[in-house]
Amino acid sequence: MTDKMDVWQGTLALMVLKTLETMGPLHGYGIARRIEQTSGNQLTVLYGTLYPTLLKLEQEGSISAKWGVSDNNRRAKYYSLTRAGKMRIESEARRWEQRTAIVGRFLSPSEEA
Amino acid sequence: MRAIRTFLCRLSGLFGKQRKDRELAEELESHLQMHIEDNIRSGMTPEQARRDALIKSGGLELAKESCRDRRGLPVVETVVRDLRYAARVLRRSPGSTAVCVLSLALGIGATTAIFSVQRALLLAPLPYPEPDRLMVVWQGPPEERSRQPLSSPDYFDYRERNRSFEELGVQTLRWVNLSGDGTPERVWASICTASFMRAVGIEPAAGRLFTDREEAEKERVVLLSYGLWKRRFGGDPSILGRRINVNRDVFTVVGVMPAGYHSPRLWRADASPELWAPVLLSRADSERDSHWLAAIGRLKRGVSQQAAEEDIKGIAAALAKQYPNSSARVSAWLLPLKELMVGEARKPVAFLLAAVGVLLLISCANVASIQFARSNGRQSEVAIRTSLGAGRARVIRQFLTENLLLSGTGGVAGIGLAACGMGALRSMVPATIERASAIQIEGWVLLFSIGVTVATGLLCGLAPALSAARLDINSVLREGQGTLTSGRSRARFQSALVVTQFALALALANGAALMIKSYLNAVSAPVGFDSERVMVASISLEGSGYQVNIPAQAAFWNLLLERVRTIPGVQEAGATTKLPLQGGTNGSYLVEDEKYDPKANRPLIELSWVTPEYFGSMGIQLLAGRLFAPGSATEARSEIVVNRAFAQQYWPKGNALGKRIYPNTPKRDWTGEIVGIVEDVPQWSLEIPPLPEVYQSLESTRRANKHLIIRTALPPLTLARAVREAVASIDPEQPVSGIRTMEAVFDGAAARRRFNTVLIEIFAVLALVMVIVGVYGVISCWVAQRAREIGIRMALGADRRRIARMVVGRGLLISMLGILIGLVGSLALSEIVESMLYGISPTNPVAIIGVASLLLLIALLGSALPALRAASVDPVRTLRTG
Repeated sequence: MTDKMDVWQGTLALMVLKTLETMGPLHGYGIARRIEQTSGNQLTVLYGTLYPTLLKLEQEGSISAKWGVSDNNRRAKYYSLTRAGKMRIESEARRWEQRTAIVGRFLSPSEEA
Repeated sequence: MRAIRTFLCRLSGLFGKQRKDRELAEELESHLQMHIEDNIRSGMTPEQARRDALIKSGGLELAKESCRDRRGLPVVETVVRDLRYAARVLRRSPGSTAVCVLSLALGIGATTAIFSVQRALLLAPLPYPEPDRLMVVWQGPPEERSRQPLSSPDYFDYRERNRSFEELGVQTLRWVNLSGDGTPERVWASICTASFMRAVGIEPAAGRLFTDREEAEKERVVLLSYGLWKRRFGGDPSILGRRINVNRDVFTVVGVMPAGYHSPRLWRADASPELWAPVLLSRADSERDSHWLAAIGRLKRGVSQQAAEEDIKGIAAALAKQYPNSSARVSAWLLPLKELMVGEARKPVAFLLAAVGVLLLISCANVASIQFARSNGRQSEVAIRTSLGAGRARVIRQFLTENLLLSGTGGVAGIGLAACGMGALRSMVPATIERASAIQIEGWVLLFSIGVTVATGLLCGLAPALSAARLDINSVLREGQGTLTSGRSRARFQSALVVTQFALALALANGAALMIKSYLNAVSAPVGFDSERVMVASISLEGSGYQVNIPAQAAFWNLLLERVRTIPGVQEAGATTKLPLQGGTNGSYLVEDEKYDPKANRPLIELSWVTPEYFGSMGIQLLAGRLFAPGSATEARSEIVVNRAFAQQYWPKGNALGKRIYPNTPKRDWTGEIVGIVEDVPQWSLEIPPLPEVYQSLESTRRANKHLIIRTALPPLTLARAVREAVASIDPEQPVSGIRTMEAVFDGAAARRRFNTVLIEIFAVLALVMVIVGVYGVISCWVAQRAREIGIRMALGADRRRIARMVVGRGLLISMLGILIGLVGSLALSEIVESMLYGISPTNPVAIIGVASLLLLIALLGSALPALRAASVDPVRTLRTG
């Protein structure tokens, strides 16, 4: 095992949404960097997982994309959160907490006893 | 919600692919550049920075690929790709593709057309509310289900005593004359009870139905058809309450029926009533002998046909006991209205459907054979695809896609053909068939055609697809294409298809030949009259002044005939109450010493009232004796003429002249004396042999509707104007209608059979053409596969003629096998076909031998070209390249 983990598809969507919520409109590279930073560099975001996820979120209407210019004058596609996306964060976050809580109970059974 | 949005996005993702690819590439590239810049900023050399960024990206192409999959709908894309590829393959051999499409177009087109007929005539529900509850009540002797109308007292008894019907009503159809609003006009009227209209259940578009009270009090009220209201009364918005002249009496319009409403035709299929008026019945009437009211009943909800029939039979049995003199042999039974209206069309339509089914199978066999040959040429392609990792399912899908594209094209063309032919088809359907105008390509027909198209695509494609999928890659790639063994099994399959085609074609062509012969038999059988140069005009003397007034009617007709005879070109003119082949009236008589017996089942005798000149005008030959003298008939005694069938039935030894007949009643209050015998004339149709008939003098009937018959030296219809003027000169209010030639009457009688025959003929010809193509295709393939063998034979000294004979022999062998199977099949089906035939046995050897020879000729034709090609094979070249 390497010390860095690949992100799994399902959770990446939530990370992208959360990132856009805190950072505002951002291009793909920025999103990837930010997620890696937030994870304390424990995650690597590959193109092959990031861009399909962005496309999926865009198709679902959670984010929208627009071409813009980056800080160092490079043309880049900027993603921003839509209203539907904001609402989705809440429900996804709640679901995520439920899920981890359930798995957590299995991992620490001693509390039950 | 989100799923739908995603689906739509992905659907739109199918288009503008190149632009989106460019954008994605640009986006990824900018991502990479930013990464590199960051790396440089953190102190790497440009070289290192680039390498590190690329490693961390996890593969640019992979990312693009997964985005591409995500963007569109991969399934759709493969299908589109398959279709494009299929189109290319099909375009590469335009000849065989055209043959396939044409075969399928003809097969599917014919099937669509006939299904539209079936749909309109048989499957579509009758245009009345809850039509399944509508039953026709017929009377007849207890042991048979014959279709006799009710008598008036029976109707009242049935209506009062039954427990099964919500409504029970009766009608009779009559010609009525309309006058007073423009040209006098004669139209069919339904003279019916108020309950009849309620039983049918259609409300008027304007106004109301007439009521039981109006019927009982004999009020003069009428309902108009929408067409009559528009035509004769110019769509008058204040028509309700308007007074119109019907048979010279004033009637008040109380309603207009909706557009497109057709009263159920219980009795005469050719009569389409345009006017409805109350029938005049009296409960006090006790004449149970006179059957003239056709009855329709609407079953109570939940009452079955059987229960209702038992109910009505019980009533009839009680009446038979109560009135033995008139009703001893009268029972009743029920016929669903739908059965009455479509029953006759059922068998011919089923027959035609079977014929197009055969045609469709033949065309499928053609397509399957051609596609099979095509797949044969593509072995190496399939082998390469398979070795590159295409799964079996993928290969099958590709082949099926190709065939579906083919059948889809054929199907669209076929439906187009059928749509173009609809007008012709509708005009060919005889007018006496109910609802012919409803024949059209509507939703259900379209659905059916699409189903047939898909089914043919799968059927034709399955064999090539499966055989391609089963292909042994190694052997193909090693040996090259067209190895001898696999070629053999393919040729066997194709030959089997052609054998099937021949078998089917034999059955179809044999059926067609029998139908054509039946048609010829029907139209060429002696009819006993001469229809050439005869004009017919129909005139009903109705209303006050004429009705019930025999002398007034006689005076009119005498004057009219006198004036018509002075018209230039008229050779002879007579009058009759009925025309040949148009049905008519019948009754029963006591002959000579027969005693009246209500329980006896007397044969029905056809009844005609004519002037003596009728026979000459119609060209009916007098066989013995003389015609009745004008003015010889009295109330108690008439001279009569009988037909040959009547004379033969009662006096086979031939001494009918001078014999007497009496009415079939207890009292002998009338005597008819036979003074002459005339040739038989078919009364009901070309195919029902002439029945015994009695002709009486026209002066002795009060029947209003009569036909003027004129034999002329001129084209008959040129007299129409002069005849109208002659009628108007006697009575300007009197309409003349139904001016036509006797030939048109004859054609009308042959129309149904002609319709079936022409269609089946077309199908048979199409089938034969397809069989030629089929045999040509399979023999060509056979020759192509054997080019090497033929070359060797030639090199060894076989001459060209021998080679050609071998090829033709192959064609004949295949066809003979098919013909043999077809023969067995035809014999097995002969019982079904028999009911459609007239004057010919379904196993007629001449027809079968003729058709079989025709098919052999076709096999010869189809294999001639390949044989020539085989004979011109250059042995040196084939041996070198083979």
